[in-house]
Amino acid sequence: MNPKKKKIAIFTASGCRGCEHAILNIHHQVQSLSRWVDIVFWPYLLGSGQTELDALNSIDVCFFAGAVVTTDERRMAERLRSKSEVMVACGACAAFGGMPSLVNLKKGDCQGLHPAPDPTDTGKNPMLPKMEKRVSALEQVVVVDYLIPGCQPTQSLLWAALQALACGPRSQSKLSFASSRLPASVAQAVTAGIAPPKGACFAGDKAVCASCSRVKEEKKFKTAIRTYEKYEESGRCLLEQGLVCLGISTREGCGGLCTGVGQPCRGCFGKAEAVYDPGAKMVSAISSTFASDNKTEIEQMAAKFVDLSGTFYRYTLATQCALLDKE
Amino acid sequence: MQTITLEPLRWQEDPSRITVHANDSHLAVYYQVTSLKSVEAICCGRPVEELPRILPILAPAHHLTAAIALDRLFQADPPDLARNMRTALLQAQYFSAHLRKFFFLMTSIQDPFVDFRVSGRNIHQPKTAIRLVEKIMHHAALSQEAEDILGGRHDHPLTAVAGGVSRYLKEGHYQRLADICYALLPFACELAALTRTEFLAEGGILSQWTDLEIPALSGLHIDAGDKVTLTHPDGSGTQQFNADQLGDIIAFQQEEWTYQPFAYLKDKGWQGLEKSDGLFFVGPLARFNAGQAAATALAEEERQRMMEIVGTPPVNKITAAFGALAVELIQAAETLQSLSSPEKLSGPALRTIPKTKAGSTWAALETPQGLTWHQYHVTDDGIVQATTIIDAHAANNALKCLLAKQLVSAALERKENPGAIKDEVAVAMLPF
Repeated sequence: MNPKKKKIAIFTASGCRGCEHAILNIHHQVQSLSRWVDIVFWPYLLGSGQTELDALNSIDVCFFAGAVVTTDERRMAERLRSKSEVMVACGACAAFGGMPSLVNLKKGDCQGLHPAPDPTDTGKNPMLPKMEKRVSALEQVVVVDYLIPGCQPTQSLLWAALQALACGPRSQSKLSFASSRLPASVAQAVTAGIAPPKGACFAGDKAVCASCSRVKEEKKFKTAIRTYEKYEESGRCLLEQGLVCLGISTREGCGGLCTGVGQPCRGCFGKAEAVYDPGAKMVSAISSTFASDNKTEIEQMAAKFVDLSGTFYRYTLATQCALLDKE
Repeated sequence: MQTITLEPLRWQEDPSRITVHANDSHLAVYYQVTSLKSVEAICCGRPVEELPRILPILAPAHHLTAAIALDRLFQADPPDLARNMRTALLQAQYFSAHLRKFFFLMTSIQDPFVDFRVSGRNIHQPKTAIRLVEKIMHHAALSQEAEDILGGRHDHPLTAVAGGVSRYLKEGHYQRLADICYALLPFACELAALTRTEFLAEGGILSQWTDLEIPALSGLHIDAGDKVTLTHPDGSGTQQFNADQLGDIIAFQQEEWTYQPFAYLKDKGWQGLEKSDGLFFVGPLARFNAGQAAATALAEEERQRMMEIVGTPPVNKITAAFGALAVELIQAAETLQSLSSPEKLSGPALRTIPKTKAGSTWAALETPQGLTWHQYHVTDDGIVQATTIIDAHAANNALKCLLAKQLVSAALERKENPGAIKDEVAVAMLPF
């Protein structure tokens, strides 16, 4: 192990491995990373286990993906935090709870989702890690330094974050690439060779609408349409056509990936900087543009919206819904 | 009693470990999935049209299975353009998923982070292996780009919607897809040849597995026309069902020591893992063992060559499973190439607009990981009330448990250390 290189750990708790695949998907860059970093702990790719983690005195940067669902994952998050100089929540599950946290909408706690161990068990069968009562994002378990949002994070943001945090000032060209893709505050820090401000999010500051290429004409909500119903295949704003699109409340950085292929945004980058609660923002944005003053018409239109909590907080229920107790 | 824990297992989509309880007279081996995805709890209460965007958390191809279920729910037949785009996306997913397994296989002998461009200076690095890892990563990137073009994103695609797809391809996409296919097909053939001549040859990565028989289970796969075929492990015949009956044919057993349920054949009943009557597996080897010709010419030629090395189906061997991956890699590249033309991927309509809606729906699709089957029950306003999902994780859970038991028992007899056992099990489970 080269002492000059930064030591990197990558771990996924409960998730789909999409974030780890996203790291592998930065193509040849994964290999060139080895010029600047040593990947010292990566259970999925390298099979690293507790022994390898015990042997490490410290980790420079830990990329933690996935939501925390079991007690073992909580312990692992705590151990990795205690050894890591910088802890990065990588992907929507780690950053905001992601889709796994939708189970928190279910009545009762998550422990009821799996049969409880037989109390008469004599220890013949091995134990499983216990389910937590609620699915949590990483920041609800340990202190998180940076967020890389997205389900999965886009390659350019992920690569920019890796270079900014892991490569350091040893590669000016890489830092210049990174800073061109990062929000101003992060980019300035990276270019100056210092760590970005704690809590920084490796994505844009504005809403997805700012980078969405669809044409916005007039915000008048005339009807609520669901994606299986007929809507224009033109480049017109999906929200204006009546589809529930979360672009207006969601942090930019993806470049309008979903809206670009005719699908409404579902908010995997979390809320935009200026938004307090993405669900409240959506309710406000839609209801204030209803194209009617008639109470009955408005009620009929409002009745067409379904599953507001599952839609407005698709990826962020654990951390960004102001109405829920986040503890 | 001595307890050995082998954790984590490399390359497994689900976090998993093997726990071994051993004493003088008894050995118990458990393959444990240590976290729960709770997909049913995530899906219930959601609008049904959102499921193609939610279910890829299981694997990317569930996006397409869910879209087919929506077609059936809304009785909306996709136009040719949409069918072709979906098929092309599925083939790109096959290519990416299978190639990733070869990448993982290479990482069992080669540090994946060796920089090709500077490693020439390091005489200790095996250059052939490094170059192959480099080539695999390059072509993985290309197949991901094809997935991005066809599906919007690769790991969580989003273009398949009820009755079709959500967008037309752009002018530049056709040429790019053609360029990608031009690169993927020769590489698939090269990798398949390497699998035969290098990996499976004496001294190759897979040579130690040549004689290893895996647990003999029936293989389940979907034929064309929504027929499901169960191939008996000894070659004694097959059984066919209509895919809509799968929910009545397959049941799940939940054991308290693993979060992953076991799928089994309902008519045989759950007899535990000791009796394999009701157990089955899915995926590339199950398809290979059906003994059917490959869908494309070069893939069929490769299948014939592979059979000369690994044996005639049904073959219950890990080597055959890797051989099947190589054959399917070629098939995917050929099919993708045949579909990647403006004629196939353009048309007057993207989708059929649904006019009606049923109360429940199902869909079956053969995906890179194996058979997938979805069933949804929905309310009048299209909210999901209940789901049943059969995927490769549950379908192959029994095979993985039995494989783990077989390998660990043999390795302990040879007095191998836990680290070596863990590595062996990981490679053996990789193609399933």
